[in-house]
Amino acid sequence: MFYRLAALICLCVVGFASFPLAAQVTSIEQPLSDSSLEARAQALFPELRCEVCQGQSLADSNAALASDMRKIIREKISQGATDAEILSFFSERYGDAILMRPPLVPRTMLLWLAPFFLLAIGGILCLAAFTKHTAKA
Amino acid sequence: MKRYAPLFIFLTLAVLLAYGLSLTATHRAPVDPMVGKAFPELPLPVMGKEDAQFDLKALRGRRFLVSLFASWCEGCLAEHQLLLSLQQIGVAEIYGIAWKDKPKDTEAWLTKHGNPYHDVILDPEGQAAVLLGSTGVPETYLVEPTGIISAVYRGELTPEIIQTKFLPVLNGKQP
Repeated sequence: MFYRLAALICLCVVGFASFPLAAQVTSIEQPLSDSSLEARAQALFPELRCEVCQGQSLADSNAALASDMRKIIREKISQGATDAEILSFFSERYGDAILMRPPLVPRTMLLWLAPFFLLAIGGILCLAAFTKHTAKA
Repeated sequence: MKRYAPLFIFLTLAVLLAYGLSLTATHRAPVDPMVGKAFPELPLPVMGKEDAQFDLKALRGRRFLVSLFASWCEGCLAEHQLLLSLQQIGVAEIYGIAWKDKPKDTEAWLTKHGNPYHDVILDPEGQAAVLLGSTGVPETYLVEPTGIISAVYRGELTPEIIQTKFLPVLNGKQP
């Protein structure tokens, strides 16, 4: 049991550690010559969803459209656009769904709050079950 | 109290599911983010007039349709007949954007299948998509005389889509 758990943890660590490597693939496209600007571009890619993929961000995707979007992001950065301006350029055209972290607005309340709500229900159920158990014992 | 819990869960689910079934496709689809936005300037050449850029301002005062298409796109061929008949009825001028398509291929394709377009904007590099909030071809936009997009359909046009999404707006009613 202990060895299995240890193996699982190792796998997880390796999996997460390989994420930055996956992001590096994007550098095959022409990176910006200014390394601090390129770092900003690389930081923005994981913030935007690849619209034609399932659950991938621009940092993870090899799709042609994702590549086009990365190109536009680099172009806008080199023209002096701020990160916020670039994110809103995309959300104006594709809707908030393109943001990997959608804003907390009335329409997305359910999305953001449902996990806490469900956790609370689970907690209450657990508590009820445990107190009943102890009361009997 | 406890014995009614299953009934309560059943009723809640039944109400929610009945509500879901009552929604029509148009209710379910959220309003396209591009509706209400200005149709973007496209710094791209026009087929047959390669030295000049597409001039959006010249279209002010006219309502027009824009079709994003490509010769390599099967859905575009499937909806092509509809665009041709729309052009024949003459509801509005139709402009084409040949997305990620070699100008030569676009021209050959239009010669073969008929050309419903008033003008074809050439976009071999695929620059138009992101400006239009697009994910691919085919897509259709209706642009008002003010230059504002009033209807968008992303996907292959069908007679039903034209009837429910575009004709009401073309006839002056709200979608």
